[in-house]
Amino acid sequence: MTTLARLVFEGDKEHVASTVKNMIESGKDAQAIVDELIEGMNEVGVRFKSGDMFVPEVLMSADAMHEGIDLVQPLLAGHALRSLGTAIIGTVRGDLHDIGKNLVCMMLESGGFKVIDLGIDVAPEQFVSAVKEHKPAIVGMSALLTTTMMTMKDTVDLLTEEGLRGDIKIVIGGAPVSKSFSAQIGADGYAPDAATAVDVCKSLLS
Amino acid sequence: MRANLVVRESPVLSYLTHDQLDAIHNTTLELLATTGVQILQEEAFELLKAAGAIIMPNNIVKIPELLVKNALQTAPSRIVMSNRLGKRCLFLEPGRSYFGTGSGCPNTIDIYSQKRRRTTREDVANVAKLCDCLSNIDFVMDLGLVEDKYPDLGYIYGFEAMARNTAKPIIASCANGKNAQDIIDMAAVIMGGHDQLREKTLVAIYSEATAPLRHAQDALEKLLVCAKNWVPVIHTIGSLAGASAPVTMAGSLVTGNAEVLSALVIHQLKQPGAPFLHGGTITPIDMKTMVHPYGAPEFHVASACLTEMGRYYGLPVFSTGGCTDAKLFDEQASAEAAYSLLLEALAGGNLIHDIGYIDSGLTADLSTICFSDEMIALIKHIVRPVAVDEEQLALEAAQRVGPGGHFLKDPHTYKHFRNIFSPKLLVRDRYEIWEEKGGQTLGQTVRKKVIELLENHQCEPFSEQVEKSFSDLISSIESRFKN
Repeated sequence: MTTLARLVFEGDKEHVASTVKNMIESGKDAQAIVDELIEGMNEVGVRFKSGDMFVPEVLMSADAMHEGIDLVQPLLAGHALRSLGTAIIGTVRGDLHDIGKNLVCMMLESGGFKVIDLGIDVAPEQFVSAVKEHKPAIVGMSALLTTTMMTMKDTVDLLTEEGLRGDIKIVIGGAPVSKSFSAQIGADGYAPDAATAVDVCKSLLS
Repeated sequence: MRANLVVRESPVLSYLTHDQLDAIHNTTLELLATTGVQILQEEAFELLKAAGAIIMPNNIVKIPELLVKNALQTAPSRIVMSNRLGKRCLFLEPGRSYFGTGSGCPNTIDIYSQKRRRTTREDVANVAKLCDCLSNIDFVMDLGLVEDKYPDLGYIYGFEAMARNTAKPIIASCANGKNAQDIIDMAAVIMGGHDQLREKTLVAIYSEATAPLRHAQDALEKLLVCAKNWVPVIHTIGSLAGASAPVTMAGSLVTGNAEVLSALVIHQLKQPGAPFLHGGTITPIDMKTMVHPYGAPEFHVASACLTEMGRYYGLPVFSTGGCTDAKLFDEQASAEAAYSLLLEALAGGNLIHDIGYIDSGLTADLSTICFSDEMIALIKHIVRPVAVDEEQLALEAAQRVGPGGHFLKDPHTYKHFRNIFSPKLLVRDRYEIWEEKGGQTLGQTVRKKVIELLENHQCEPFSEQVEKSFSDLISSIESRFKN
């Protein structure tokens, strides 16, 4: 790994910032810097999958990576940061639980997606207007309560009614949700945890 | 005659001194006064406002010490629940423990096929039936989520299945305030009226805070309905240390405590003296899988600490045991179920629930319930006094038998031998005998027992009069949804 990648891997926000500043001052190419930051994050992903790294460490590294990206961002003005697509994520209507959803947002961002977090208690109508506004590739819904997971179907149906269904992939998650439930309501994918969610989204778009 | 003799009637398990409990309490007060909680239901919000709580934007309410003090003052220190036959049988007082199942599993391990499938209405009936005939199970929760087009009806059918298949006290889950009221009305029909239900409390209602520091609309509705009806409510902590609560034990106890006490304040403002339980579940989020682990030692230590906190406050406590992250009743399941039950029995939590919860609470398993029943019988032989009186010291017997004699025929042995634990399911046969009998594993033995009990047990049915009123009530509830 390059020095910068290693600093991201170690979650060293401070040194990522100072290193990136030095690299910018010495005239290094902006995209090359971004690539090194992502290299560090990719290694984090590998270690996390194999059970050698824990979520708080992953989040620390993601923070460090973003610190670097924020510094480079102005230099990329005019060239959008390479993104795998936009994902709109929310916890469904009537449900306040959001830890899992927040984790998915963070993991998707680290994984190269642009994420729009609609928050909690999101009605089907809100999902629809967000899709119209942001034209995402992915719509992700989360629910913890068995009473609220039924509204996932309402959202799928409303998106279909509005003629938006064909352009997006719908992924769902949450403790009471399952693969069969996802098939039942007409969603495209299901993920049992945040890390898998990133893989599911990537494979749905490939 | 003997003077100044002090004896101990049970082993003692304690994690926290009074001073440490004071510190947790005072930190909770500081959190409630400076950060407050979010209250997402109108009546609860207005009650707090009228009582002098400090209102902040976004439905945040800061709660001063006085409100907490008043609530702790009026809340009852003991709750008694009855079975369907009107017998007062659960005495929720310090150190008195009762055991029961958990609630809401979307999946079940089919006892015949041993395959995992979605839970049905019949599964809830079977859980209740099994618990009805296991003598060490004292109360019942549905252990299964009845899926219905209308979630509220799913809970109605779940309560119905439990009430029909066991006479034991029930802790019911429900969707919201109206659903809670319907279930309370159903229980009242069974007991002969709301006044009778108040005296012979067949049902308690389960609710939950939303960590960190929030109370959702449906949960607060349930809280208020229970207060109004004088039905015990369990407005539990349900937090993940490291995710929705601080990762350290004391920190998670503080935020959980803030959630419970703020609920208590609202509850007692609605109806001073209405019955309320402290307690709940705090477990550290698994930092690799993000799972809510039911076998984590920290979970059960937290339960023991919450039990001590309940005692400190003079409130009955809802505790947890007999559960596991294992995917079926296997070696892990028996280890996790056994140690959690033992720890909570030693701590003395009042309602030790979640027996039969496997797969981190997503799957129900009848074998685990049957195994836990055996474990509880064994545990009752651990959480008991070692009596040291003349009869127990057995000096006369020792003198009688003397060097090289034996005690098997001695009258003292005859008098006391039945007090020794004798297992029903755990094997003690000599190897050859065990082999002859089929060489069964514990899993096989337990499963066979469950099937035998389910196929042969019949619960006492309702009286004709109750049956009519009960069915009529369910029909009228159904028609509200189906029309």
